[in-house]
Amino acid sequence: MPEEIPSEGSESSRFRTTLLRVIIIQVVALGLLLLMQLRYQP
Amino acid sequence: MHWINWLIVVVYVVWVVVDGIRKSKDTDTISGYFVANKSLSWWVVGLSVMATQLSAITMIGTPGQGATDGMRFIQLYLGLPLAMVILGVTIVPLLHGSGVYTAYEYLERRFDARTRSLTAFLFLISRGLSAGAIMAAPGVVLSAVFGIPLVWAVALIGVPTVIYTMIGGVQAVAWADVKQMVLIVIALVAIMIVLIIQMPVNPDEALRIAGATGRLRVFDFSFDLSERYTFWSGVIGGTFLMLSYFGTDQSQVQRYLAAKSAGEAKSSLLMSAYWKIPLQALVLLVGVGVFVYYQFVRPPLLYNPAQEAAVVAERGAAYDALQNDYAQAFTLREAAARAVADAGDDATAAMEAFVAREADIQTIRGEALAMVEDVTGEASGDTNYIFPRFVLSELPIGLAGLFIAGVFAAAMSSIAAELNALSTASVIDFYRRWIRPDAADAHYLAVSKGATAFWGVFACVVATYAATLGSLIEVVNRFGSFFYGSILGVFLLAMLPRAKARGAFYGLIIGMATVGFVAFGTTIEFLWQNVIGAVVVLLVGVTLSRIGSAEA
Repeated sequence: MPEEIPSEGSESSRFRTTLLRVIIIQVVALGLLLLMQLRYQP
Repeated sequence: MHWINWLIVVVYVVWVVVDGIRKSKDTDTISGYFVANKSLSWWVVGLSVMATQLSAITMIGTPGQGATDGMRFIQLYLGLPLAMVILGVTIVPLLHGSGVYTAYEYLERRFDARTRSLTAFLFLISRGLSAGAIMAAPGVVLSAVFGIPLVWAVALIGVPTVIYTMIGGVQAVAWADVKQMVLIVIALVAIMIVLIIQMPVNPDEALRIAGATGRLRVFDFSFDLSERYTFWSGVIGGTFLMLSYFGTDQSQVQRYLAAKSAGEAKSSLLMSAYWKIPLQALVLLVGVGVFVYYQFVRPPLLYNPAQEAAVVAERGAAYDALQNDYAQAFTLREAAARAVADAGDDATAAMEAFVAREADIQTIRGEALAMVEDVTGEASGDTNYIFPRFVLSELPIGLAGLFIAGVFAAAMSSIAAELNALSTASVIDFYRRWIRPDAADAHYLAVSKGATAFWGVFACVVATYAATLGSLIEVVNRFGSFFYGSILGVFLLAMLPRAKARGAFYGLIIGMATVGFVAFGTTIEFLWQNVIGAVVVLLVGVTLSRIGSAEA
């Protein structure tokens, strides 16, 4: 079976989706770290 | 170490070498050997990029840093996600689409041969030395912890890595990286779970104890150029550092040049952006957990067993007296830690008492470390031994083996990437460019394999010397960081349509000279050197290009 070649459209859509996830993960991770600092750091 | 742990390590190392070579295809052409015929999927490249950056010192030293200094080190990585996004829309499509084997090859197309050769030369110097340092760090720790000669420890890491890198090229490196990244994450998560289960207090109490000593201060918003890790040095300096490392360092560029398409290469970089901060937070939290655990279980006064043995041999009586003081101070600190755990939300007084007891312990430890320096004549670097000692003495059989395999994995993946990149730059940017431009692929492949072996031996030799010079790793890191910013500046210039070759070449030299002055003549911390280098190269490069245009 020939290998499927990803089209440019699907690649840029995947880039956008991944980028959105990156932003969400970073906001959540940094937010949790900040909360931990505010809660436990006198 | 128990034989089951050794068995896990040996089985893992053999599997990585054999499977890495087995998965390598079409390595009889330079395109297959250097860039995998641009055939790798984004997730393979992404894991390889992450594994390359996560060296053994991250596995060994970073939890130690979490235990002694807390979470603030994570600020170094604040710029990474932004850098990855910027690279994804700038340098990645540029390099991937240009059909080059090295990042520096592109600079000749854009500017001239001397700019290419100078940047490639700087890469070979800084990365050749750092490959040795990357190998030395785990070599020293494994040698001290297991009581084996340093040369054996270096050989255990170096020989299998050179073999699979030499035979399989970038594909063997990338597939080994995939396994290594998975193993590292499994080992860290498993250690975190065991730590939580074995901890004598609950997680809320543990975090309160860690917070009392400042170890949960993640963000420092002060703008102080002489402070190493702040929010601003991380966001600004860190972005430039990551742009330089992931955008212009051949050990990283070569990974995404092997991706199927520019889109896959971009997605692979975003994978690092995704996971780096959470993963680094996990590593540091494990270290903080070890610190809390050691409030209730007495750790050794000195973590490095070889240095402890040297001190006992030379200053037995004085060290025994110190051990007695330490045992008493530990009992008092343990009681103070329990008081913090039991105090609930109003723990100010208990925390103050605990901090005072912790300071007593640090004073005693300081005296022990001073003894080490007196006896051995070298800085102790005790932080790097905290985590291996914890793993080997406190974790169940099997998990300790998994961790040591993880250390090997991290060391091998970083070194393999460096060797592969050093070999590629040596052959493509120097041998093929200046010595034999028209040879057959088979000839270049033979030279590449020879170059990999040469850089492997070079790294092993540097590693054995680096081990005797305690601060060399820091020196190499600083040395590397003053090249990074200037090299990034050249690539940024390459994206400006009006920039000329003369501006790039002299801009690079003046940028490096400026960073050299900043590094040795001021107290500005090294993350800012990346910003300064890039900005100076850009300004000088643009100015000289304009003067050149006006003269023309």
